[in-house]
Amino acid sequence: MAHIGHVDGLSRGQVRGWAIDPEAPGDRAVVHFETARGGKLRRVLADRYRADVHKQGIGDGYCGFAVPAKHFDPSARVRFFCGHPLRELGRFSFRAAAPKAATFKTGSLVLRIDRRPAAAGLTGWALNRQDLEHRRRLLLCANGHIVATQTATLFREDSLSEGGDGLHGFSLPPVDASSGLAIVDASTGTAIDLD
Amino acid sequence: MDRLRIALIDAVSTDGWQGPTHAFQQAARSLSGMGHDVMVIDASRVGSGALPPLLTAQNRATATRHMLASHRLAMQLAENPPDLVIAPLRGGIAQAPLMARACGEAFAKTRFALWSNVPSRDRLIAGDAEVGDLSPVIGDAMERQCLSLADALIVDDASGPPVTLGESLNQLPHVSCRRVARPPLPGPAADVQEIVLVGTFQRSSGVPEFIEAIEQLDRSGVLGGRLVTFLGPIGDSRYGLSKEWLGQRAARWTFRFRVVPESNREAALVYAGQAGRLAVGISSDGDEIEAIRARCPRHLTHPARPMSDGDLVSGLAAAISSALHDAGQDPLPETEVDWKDLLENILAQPIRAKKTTSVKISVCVLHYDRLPLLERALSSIPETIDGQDVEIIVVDNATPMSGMKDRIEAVAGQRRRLKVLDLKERLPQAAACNLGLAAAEGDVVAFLDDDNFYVRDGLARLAAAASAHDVVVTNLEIFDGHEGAPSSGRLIFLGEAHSAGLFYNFFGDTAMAVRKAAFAPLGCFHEMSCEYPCLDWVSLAKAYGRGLRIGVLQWPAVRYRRDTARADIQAAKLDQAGARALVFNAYRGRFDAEMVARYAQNLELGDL
Repeated sequence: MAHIGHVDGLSRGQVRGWAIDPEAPGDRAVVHFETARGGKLRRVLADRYRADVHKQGIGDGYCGFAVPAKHFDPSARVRFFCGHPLRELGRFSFRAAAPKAATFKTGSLVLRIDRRPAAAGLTGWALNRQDLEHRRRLLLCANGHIVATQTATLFREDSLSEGGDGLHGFSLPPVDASSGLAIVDASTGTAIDLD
Repeated sequence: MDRLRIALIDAVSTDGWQGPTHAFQQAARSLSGMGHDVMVIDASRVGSGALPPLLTAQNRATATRHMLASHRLAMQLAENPPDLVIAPLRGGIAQAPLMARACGEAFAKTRFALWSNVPSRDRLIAGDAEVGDLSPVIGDAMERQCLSLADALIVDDASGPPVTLGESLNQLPHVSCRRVARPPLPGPAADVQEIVLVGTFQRSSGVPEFIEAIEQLDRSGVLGGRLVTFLGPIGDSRYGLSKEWLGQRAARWTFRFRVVPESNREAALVYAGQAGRLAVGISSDGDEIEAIRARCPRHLTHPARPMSDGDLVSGLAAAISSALHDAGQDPLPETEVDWKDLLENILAQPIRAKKTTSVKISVCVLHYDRLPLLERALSSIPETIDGQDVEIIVVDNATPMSGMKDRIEAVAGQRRRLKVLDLKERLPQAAACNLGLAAAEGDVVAFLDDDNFYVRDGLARLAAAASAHDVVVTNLEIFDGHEGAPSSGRLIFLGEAHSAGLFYNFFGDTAMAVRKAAFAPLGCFHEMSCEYPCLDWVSLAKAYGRGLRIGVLQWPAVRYRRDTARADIQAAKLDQAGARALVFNAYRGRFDAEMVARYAQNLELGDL
């Protein structure tokens, strides 16, 4: 059986992913990768612990890999391989489109929510175009109850397109509710329904 | 002599070799023959059984393989503790069982002897293996701990240079091996058709010297039409010796050669031991040499130190020539260890574990705005341990709520000895912990976060271990969400992390217990005028830097709540560069500079 795995993308300066041979889950897979399109292959050992993969019942969880982004040609779309013979595991491009997201605009307030299951937490960014330095205090409400609060100050590169310094991101915890979710800007009381 | 249960531990493989080393094959035969109950345990194959996933500060399976294997070994051996454990020094595989004994958790009647072989540090410094991970540095920390905690070091003068590692080596009794003659291995007297160099394809296995000797023999016509084989782990391409390098080196050779890239040690020895093959081994590592001598009837071994200044080539060429012409044996005498004599000498050594004693203990719980969790934490603290009252000090770090003292006293219930320090202004964590420490009356002060709690007997074990150490940390049982959730993993630590602690927090967590008389004079938890990252790492590095003894409970004393929701937005977790700068200063130079420099050299190879 071929190796299984995934190239997740760029996070904190490293291109990350995971790979494992389901028939030899105790062995650590060697992942081969291009640093430039069609260039010489380099290797990295997939032996980092990945709780998310482990929770899916895959191996012992020690199957993650990370390659510093400085090794890659930033203009290239590079490929990752694994197994004998080598088979493509996934591709990665530094010029990938921004993550799929929904954008809500109310007056000068801009709220961008990444499309991911609410059970995995809500991430995105929020800002007031007319007052970029005033970070937004967000309330996450489920069926009328406040379940989490956070001021949107995390770094989100994609928020730079709206001006400012990019420090407008948020990462709200997972919630059980599948409906009745809303985010409220605490300063203005503006509510955005997420259903 | 009574019948003993003896565990012989085969080390976790290094240098690209897989599979058991069979270093104790002869020992197993001899000791079984004497009527003892002998188990040979391959440490790399000890299963996890019912253990949750084992996690470390680094979370890399390869670099931390010695730690993971040692912990699994401790758990397995504890199910039925042997009378005697004999384990190799290199890799420090005995560290977790020895630490469990030092903390009074297990193995009180088990004697531990270390088989002296070349330590990880020496291999890293003197060798040319392109080790890009921390495994030798972690192995070094574990080996140093083993040397300070074991009962005897077995020294075999015939198999390698003496160990010169660590401050505690001089206190460890040395037991010398007596060697007796053994008959040569039976083998067919076939002519040598193939000369096989057995070893990892590195300079430290004598590859360049072997090649030079073979070229000499070829030029002088001695080699004849014989095949030359390189047998062992080999890389395709690296900044060192590899297939790519060999291909270039061999461009002008006229003799036949081949590479057998075999990383399974057992398979390699079987190959080299077949009729018509002369197995050649060049190493300063006695175990490597001994394996070839014990398994290959036609062998030639050089217990030399490759990469040194000596003239190895001419002697090697002459020895190979002699072996080819005379069909003779290795010029070294065939001997083996006298295990009966050795066992008597080991058993004559006392068990060195300190006895744990009863102590007066205080528990300091730092709290901020989590009363329901605090209630659970306090309920896990027993009223008494060994008949002595347990003092509780709750430091409320300025929870924005009125009447906190009364509220905390209410959730604490009826406690004979409870103090609440109701802070009006929020303090950095270190300062708050130090206030609690100052207010504590116990000889030993344990620290507990308000969202964690002790497992049954957890605090009692911490208190007992603290009586034999200056600081005791504990491996942690991690859980997510509610308190009844199953374990998400076991986070294991080293305690005294030596040089490895410069890179990651292998020391422990703030869920620790300290002997006040030892911890307070060094300034307690490291305080600064501002918040800083990794209080636990920095403070434990400071304790280590000042020579305090740090123990680790192997069985978790604390259930540790992992806050996955907050983990992504903790600035301190991101400031790993700041943490390392603080840790470096806290060490006060108490690390092995040569080894760390060598490790850094290897890391740079990745950037060539």
